Amino acid sequence: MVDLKRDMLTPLLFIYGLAFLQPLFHPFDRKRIGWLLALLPFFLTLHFIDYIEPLAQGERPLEFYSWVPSMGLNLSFFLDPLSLLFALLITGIGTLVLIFSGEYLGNEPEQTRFFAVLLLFMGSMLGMILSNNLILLFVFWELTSFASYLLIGYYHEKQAAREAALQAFVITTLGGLALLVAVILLGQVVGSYELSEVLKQKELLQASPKYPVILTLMVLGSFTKSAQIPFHFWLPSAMQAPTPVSAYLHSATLVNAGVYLLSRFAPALGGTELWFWFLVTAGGGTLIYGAWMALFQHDLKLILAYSTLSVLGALFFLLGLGGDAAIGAMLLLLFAHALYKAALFLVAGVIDHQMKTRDLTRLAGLAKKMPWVAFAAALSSLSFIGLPPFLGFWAKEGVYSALLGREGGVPLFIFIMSANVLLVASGLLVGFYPFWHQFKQHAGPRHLRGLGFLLGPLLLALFGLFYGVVESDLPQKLFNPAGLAMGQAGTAVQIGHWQGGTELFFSALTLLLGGCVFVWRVNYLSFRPHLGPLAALTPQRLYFTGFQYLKRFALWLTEHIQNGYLRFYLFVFFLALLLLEGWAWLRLSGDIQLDLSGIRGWDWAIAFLIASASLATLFVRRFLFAILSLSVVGVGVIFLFALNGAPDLACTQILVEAQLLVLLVLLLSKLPRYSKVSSFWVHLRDGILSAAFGGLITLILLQAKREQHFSSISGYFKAHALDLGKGANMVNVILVDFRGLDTLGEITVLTVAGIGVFSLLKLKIK
Amino acid sequence: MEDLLAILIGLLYAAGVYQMLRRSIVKLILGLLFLSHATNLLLFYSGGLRGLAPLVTEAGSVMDPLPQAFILTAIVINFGIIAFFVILLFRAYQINRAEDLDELHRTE
Repeated sequence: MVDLKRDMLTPLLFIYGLAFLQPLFHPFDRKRIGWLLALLPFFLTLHFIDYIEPLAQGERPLEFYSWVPSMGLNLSFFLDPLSLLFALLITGIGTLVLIFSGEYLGNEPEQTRFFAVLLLFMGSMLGMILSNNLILLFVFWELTSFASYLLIGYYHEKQAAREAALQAFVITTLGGLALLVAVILLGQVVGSYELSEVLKQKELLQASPKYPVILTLMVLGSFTKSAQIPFHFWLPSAMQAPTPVSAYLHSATLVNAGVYLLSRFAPALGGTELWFWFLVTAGGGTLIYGAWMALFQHDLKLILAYSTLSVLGALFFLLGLGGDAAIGAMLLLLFAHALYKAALFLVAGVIDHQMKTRDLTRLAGLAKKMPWVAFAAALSSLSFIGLPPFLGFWAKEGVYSALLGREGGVPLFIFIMSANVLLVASGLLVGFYPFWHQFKQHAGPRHLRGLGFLLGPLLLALFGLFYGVVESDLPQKLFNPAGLAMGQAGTAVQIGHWQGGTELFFSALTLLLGGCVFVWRVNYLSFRPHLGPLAALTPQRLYFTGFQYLKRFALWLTEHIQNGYLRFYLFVFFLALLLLEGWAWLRLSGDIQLDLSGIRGWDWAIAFLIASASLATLFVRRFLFAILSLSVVGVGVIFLFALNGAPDLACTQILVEAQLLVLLVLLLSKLPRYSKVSSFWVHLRDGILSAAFGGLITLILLQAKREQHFSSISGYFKAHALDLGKGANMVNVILVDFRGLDTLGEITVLTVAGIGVFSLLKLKIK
Repeated sequence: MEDLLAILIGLLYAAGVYQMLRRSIVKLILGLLFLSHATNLLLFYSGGLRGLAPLVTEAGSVMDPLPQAFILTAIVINFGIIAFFVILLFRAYQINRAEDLDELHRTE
C-alpha cells in the first residue's frame, strides 16, 4: 500500500532527475535507451493505479511544503480522481511513447536532448495536474509550454520547425499570461492561492464583479493551450515536431491541459451564462472546423491534428453544456480519444519512418508490408469512428445520449452528428486507406523491425478494445468519481450498456453517412476546398501580419528612443526631471519670499564673479577661454567656501582647481576651435530647458530652506570629536575617523581613476 | 546670503545643463564641472550658512560639519572622474580626430 501523504513530489523529482541523468545511459545502446527510460513512467503508472481504489472511496491525499509563504506560493500538491485520470494518461502513454521514441529517433545524434526535454515535459505536465497551488500550477503550465516549444523545434535546422515552435510558444505564452492574471485575481477574491480553498468559493467568486474578467482570462489560457478557435492554428503547424511528440504532447496530454484547467475550475466558475457561451461557441466552432479541415488533408499527421482539434472542441463543447450526462461523456471521450489518437499518431510515425513519406496519395498496400501496424491502425481507427464495441463507440453513445436527453438539445445534436460524420471519414482515411487500397499490387517483403515500434500502437489500440468489451470497474472507480470531483454527483458513465434504440440508430447512421463521405473522398482525393480572398482573414494570416508589424514597430521604436545621440538622452532626462519635479513642487509649494537683505559686500562680489564667469563660459568661442572662465567660477566657489565658514573645503577646492586647470589646458588646448553646428532654434530650445531647470532648482531650494523635518545629527560629532576622535576640526574627524571607511572608498576611487589615467596615457595608438 | 546662494546654484545648474546638451564633448565635460560645482554648493546650502568654521574650540555657534564632509569627499571623487574622462576624451580625439559626439556615436 502506498503512503498517501507523501507521494506526489517524489515522482516529479524522479522524472526531473532522470531528465538530467539520462545522458549517462546513452553510450550503451542508443536504440534501446527508450526501454530503459520507460521504466520510470511505467512504475509511476503502477503507482498511480494504486491510487484508484482509495480515491474512489473519497480519500484526498495532500502534500504540502512551504516555499515562499509571504507570496502565497507553496509546494502544495493534491490528488483527486480528475487529476488521477490525467496522471494515468501522462505516465501510461508516456511509457509507450518513450519506448517508441528510442526506436524512432534511432541513431540521431541529438537523441539526448530529445529525451531530456520529453522528460521535462512529462514532469511538468504531471506537476501541473498535481498542483494544489495556483501559482505553482501556473509555473508548471508555463514549463509545459516551454517544453512544447523545444520539442516542436527539435529539428531546428528546418526553418518551418523553428517558425512553428515560435508560433506555438507565442500563442501559448499569451494564454499563460492571461492565466497568471486570472490566478492573481482569483487569489485576491478568495484570499488564498490554494486550489482546494478557491474551489470551495463558488458563490463568492460568481458574485464578485471580477468574475467575468477571471473567467475570460482563464478561458483565454485554456483555449490557447488547447488550440481552440481562434487560437487553433498553432496545432497543425506543430506537426513539424517528431511524431512521438505529436502523439504524446499534441494529442494526448499537452493539448488536454486547457481541458483540465477548465474542468478543474468548473465547480467554482462553471454553470453561468458566460461560461456556457464561451465554451459552446468556441468548442462547437473548433469541432466542426477541425472535422472539415481534417477531411481535406493529404498528410496523415495533419488529418490527425485537425481531428484532434475537432475532438478538443467537442470536449469544451460538452464542458460548456454541463450536467451529469455531458460531463460523463466528456471524461470518457477524453480517455478514449487519448488512447486511439496517440496510437494513430504512432502508426503515422512508423509509416513516416519506414516509407519516408506521410502523403496519403503516395501510400498504398501497406498492410502487407507491416501487418501488425495495420492491425493496430485498424483497431484504433475503429475506436476513432465509434464502432461498437470499442471505447470510442461508448464515448459517442454517451455524447449522443447527453444531447438527446437535453431540453432543446436536438439542434446541438444535429450539429455534433454532422461533425462526427466527417470525422468517421477521416478516421477511415487514416486507419484503412494507406493500408488496404491497392493491396494486391503492393506485395513486398515484410518491412518492419523492432518491437519498440509495435508495442505502443498495439497496446493503446488493444486497450481501446479491451475496455470496450470487458466489463471493468473503470466507470465506477475512475470516471464517476472524476465527475464528482467536477461537481457532478450524478455522473454515470456507461460502458457496455446499450443506451437505447435512438442512440444506436444515430450511431449507425453516423457510420453509414461517414462511410459514404469516405467513399466520395477516396474517389476525389485531389479535391481541396479553397478559401479564396477570405484566406487573408484567417487567424493564421492575421498572426503573421501582426507579427510583421510588431517587428517593424519594435525596430522603429528602438531607432527613435535609442538613437545613439547622448544629448537626446540628456534632453529627455532633464525634461522628465523638470516636469516631475515641477509637478511635485507645484503641489507642495507655499509662498516663497526672496530675502536679499543683510548680504555682505564681498558676497555680492563673489556672486557677481561666479555669475559672469558662468555666462562667459557659455559664449566664448575657444576651449581655452572656456576653461579659463570655468576656473574663475572655481575661484569664486573657493572664496565662497572660505568666507562662509568652510576653510577645509576651500583648501581642497584650491588644490583640485589648480590641477584641473593644468590638466584641461594641457590636453584640451590642442583641440580645434568650437564649430558652430546647432541652429538658433536648437540653442533656444536647450536654453529654455536649462533655464527652466535652473529656475526650478532655485525655487525648490528656497522652499526647502523653510522646511526642516529632522534635526541634524551633527550634535553627536560636536560632542565626541574631541574625546573619541582626538581632534578639534570636526570635518577632519568625520572624514578620517567617524566615517573613515567612506574615505577609504574615496581613496580607492581615486586610485582606480589614477590607474585608468596612467594606462590611457601609456597606451600606444596604432 | 542663503537666497543669493540659491539663485547662484540655479544659475550654475542651468549653465551646466545647457553645456551638456551641446554636441561637443568638451562642452559635455565643462557641463559636468558646472554640475559638480552646483551640487557641492547645494549640499553646502543644505547645511545652512550661519555660523563659524566647525571647530570644537569655537565659542560661538558653528556650522554643521556633516555636509562639509560630504562635499569634501565629493570634490575629490569628482576630480578623479573628470581627470579620467578628460584623458579618455583626449585619446579618443587622437584616434578619431573628432570631438563632435555625433561623429562618435557609431564609432567601433
